[in-house]
Amino acid sequence: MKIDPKNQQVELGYQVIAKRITSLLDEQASNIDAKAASKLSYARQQALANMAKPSSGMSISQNGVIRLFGNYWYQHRLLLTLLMCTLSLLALLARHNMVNQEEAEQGDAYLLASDFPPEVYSNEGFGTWLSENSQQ
Amino acid sequence: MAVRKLAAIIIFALISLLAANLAIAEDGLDQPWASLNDDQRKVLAPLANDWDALRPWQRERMLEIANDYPKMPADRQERVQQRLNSWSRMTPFERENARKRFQQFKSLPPEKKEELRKQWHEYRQASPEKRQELRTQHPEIFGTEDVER
Repeated sequence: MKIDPKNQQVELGYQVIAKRITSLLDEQASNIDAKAASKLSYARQQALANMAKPSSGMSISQNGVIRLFGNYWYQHRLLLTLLMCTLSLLALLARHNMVNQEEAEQGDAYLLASDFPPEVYSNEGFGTWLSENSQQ
Repeated sequence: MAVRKLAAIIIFALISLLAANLAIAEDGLDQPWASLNDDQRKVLAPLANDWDALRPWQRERMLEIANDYPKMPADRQERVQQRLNSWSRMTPFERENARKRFQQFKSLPPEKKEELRKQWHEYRQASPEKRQELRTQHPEIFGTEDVER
């Protein structure tokens, strides 16, 4: 592949500018006090650590699968599942309490206090009588 | 990080909720006679001698009766106390059948319910001989033994 001389010149120009910037930064860096240097060093470490995390944007996992938004969706899916579990459990408990309430209103005390003794209700023949009369 | 914290809070809340419900379910399962309060003892007095021999789930059912008792008028409260002993001596199968038929009775047409009440009223007023006769004629309603209380 042939390299265009014009592009080569521009590239060289960039390199010269980059070198000048680097030397200027080096000169200034030697004048920075220890406290500022420490803060900068800490900030650099934090920035590098954040870069290592695939927490946002597109990243490629170890097995080569591309993940959009990193673990964001994965974590929220987990949260959504937990929320669904919580809602299901609350619905179940609410239903359980409603059934208990119904039972309380139709509990054994009401049976014992009814017009007939409990032996009548446990009588097989009475069951048949009830079935026949409830159909009429 | 915030998502993980939230997930941890939800898991903790779920566990607490389950634990609280289990605690409520267990409550009342193991209550000896001595641990009952005065109101419960008063209602369940007919069972005082047998209470500690009752199974935990039977005690729970009896405690439910004691809880409903104050909501009833005096005549019904009297009936409950009169019938408690025989109720506690029935088998679980008999009690379950009784509960089903009680519900079935409640769903009868009003005129049928009234008819049955009338028959029972007559039975209560009758002499022992007449009662025996009624039991022979209608064992499906009055049973085979004199159980009126």
